[in-house]
Amino acid sequence: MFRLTTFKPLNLLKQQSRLSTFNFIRYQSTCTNKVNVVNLAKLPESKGINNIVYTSSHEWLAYNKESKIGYLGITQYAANHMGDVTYVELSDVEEVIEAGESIGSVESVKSSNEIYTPYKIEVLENNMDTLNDKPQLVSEEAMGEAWLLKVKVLEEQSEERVLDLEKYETYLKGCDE
Amino acid sequence: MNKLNYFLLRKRLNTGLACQQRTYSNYFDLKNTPFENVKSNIKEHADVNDLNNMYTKMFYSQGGSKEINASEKDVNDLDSINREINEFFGTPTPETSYEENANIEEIESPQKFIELIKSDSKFCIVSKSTDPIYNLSMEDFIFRNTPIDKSNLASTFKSQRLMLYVNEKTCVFGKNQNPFKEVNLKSKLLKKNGGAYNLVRRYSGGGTVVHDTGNVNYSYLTSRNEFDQKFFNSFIVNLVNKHLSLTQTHVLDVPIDIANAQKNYLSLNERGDITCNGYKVSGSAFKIALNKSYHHGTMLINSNLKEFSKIMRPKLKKSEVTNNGIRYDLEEFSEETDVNSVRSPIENLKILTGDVLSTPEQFIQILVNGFKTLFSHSSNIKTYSISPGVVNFVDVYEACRDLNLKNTSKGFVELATEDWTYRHTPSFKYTNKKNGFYYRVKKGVVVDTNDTENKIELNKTLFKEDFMV
Repeated sequence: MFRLTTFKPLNLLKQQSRLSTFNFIRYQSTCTNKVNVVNLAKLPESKGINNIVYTSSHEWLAYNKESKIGYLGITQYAANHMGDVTYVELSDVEEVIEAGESIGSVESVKSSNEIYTPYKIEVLENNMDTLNDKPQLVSEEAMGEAWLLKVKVLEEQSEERVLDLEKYETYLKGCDE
Repeated sequence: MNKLNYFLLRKRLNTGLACQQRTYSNYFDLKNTPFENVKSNIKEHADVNDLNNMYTKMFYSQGGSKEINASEKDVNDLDSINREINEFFGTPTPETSYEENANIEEIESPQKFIELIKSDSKFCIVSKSTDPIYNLSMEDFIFRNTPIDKSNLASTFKSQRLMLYVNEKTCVFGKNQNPFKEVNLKSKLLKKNGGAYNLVRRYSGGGTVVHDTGNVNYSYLTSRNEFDQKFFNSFIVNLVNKHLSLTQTHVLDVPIDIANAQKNYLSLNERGDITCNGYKVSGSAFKIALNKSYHHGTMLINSNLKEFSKIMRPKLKKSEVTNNGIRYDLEEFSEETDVNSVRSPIENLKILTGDVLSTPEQFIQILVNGFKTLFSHSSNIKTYSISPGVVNFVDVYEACRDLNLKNTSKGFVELATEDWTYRHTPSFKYTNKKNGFYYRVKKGVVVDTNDTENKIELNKTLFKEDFMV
């Protein structure tokens, strides 16, 4: 006489959860193919660069210990995670930025990703002209041609510890787990 | 018993068919039901008829002749019986799944708010404000001040948060977008032209969306390591579909969808957007900073879409030449670097789900309850509400200073400024083909032009929509 109402999560839901929930797609970082090594040959001036540091927020800073002049960019690991870069926004020349503060952002697939500097810096040059013409360069050449800022390191102190390449790669393994 | 069941079902199907003009042949072959001719050949089926009348008298006081009235009544009777059965077997129904959420805690002061945000905890927060500046400031403050163990970023993140808010009429565009290109700035609907719509540049990437009180904004915060663009939207799709299937009527395990014949389920497209019956119902954007991330999105429940399309500027179809007075052929944007919106056909969930999901409150409730199911130890996850009368962000920023807490969030004082809205625009060149003037614009300011009429001072005058066609 009565209609039976039964609660059924049905196959529909099962199917969808199989497709999507907790389906983390991750780019594996591999130490072996050296994707996160700074490509000095592709920087405008690479002579004299004798110190390279990495951050846990996936930036690199390559500079000369004596002149304190160098380049700042994001790691290839971060670039791979971002997907297609559509816009790059960077601090202006002559700006002084404190350690741990934002130097600009990179937009990719609806996501605005803020970029930080490990040390206090002064901006000597920014690569916005090149990168606004070809934002996808960040995805392809994050460790070289797509450097973000030419900087003068003002203080080699940071709130968070900076990493060398080996430590950075170890850290990435932890991120991917 | 069985025969009668079919009879009732057929009656329901008939009424259903009459109003919905939809065939249900995939469920039952109507022409071959055993009682197809019960009405017309009463004498031939006198035995069955007696039985029918017995039950008809039992259930319908007015008799079985008024079929539509009777069937409405019988739905009510059946519903009450179903409810009893469901209670007996403990089967969840849509009604019961709503009631769980009586305990929303109101945040009492700016200090309590800061304490909560800075603590290691997962929670859900619902804003009582409909002011877009307040709500986006809240989101930014929570995002920037949620704790994360920086010394061990690979460790498990403990402070996932879900923020929910409804904004009054507002057009919100992406961080790196050009409002002159995305928004119809001459529209009378905008507040600055005497209308009701606010105009806000947000902190996350992506394209332009329009909010009103028929739309719900959700924002899911987690660590950068846990971030996955599709995760939260697929979670919403599952939650909402579960809700929709709960309201589905089943006859002996066969789903019968007469009352909600037009109901559609949600799905996720390849770009990670939530769609329903081919329409986009939600827009998403993301922010990654300070080793954390959020995914925020809109959900159209019952919004004024006609007004939305008048405010949006991009073409819906490539072939369009005009749109709400905009003559695409008389103007040109060039030398631009900004992020473009992709215009998609949109629709409200109220219509798409045949009124099953018809209010913003309903959707908020589904998310509030669903958020807890994301984690084990879900009983500890609280839901808070925040209201601008009690927690004001000027006070919050001040309290942070007083307590010597580092706070990099300044949304409440920045978002509403002209500097943020216009001067943050990526550089572009606009050509007005009607009068032949061109304008090169950097940081919102005209840096090069052949316009001699508008008294433009290079590097000083802000580019305005008045210069446009």
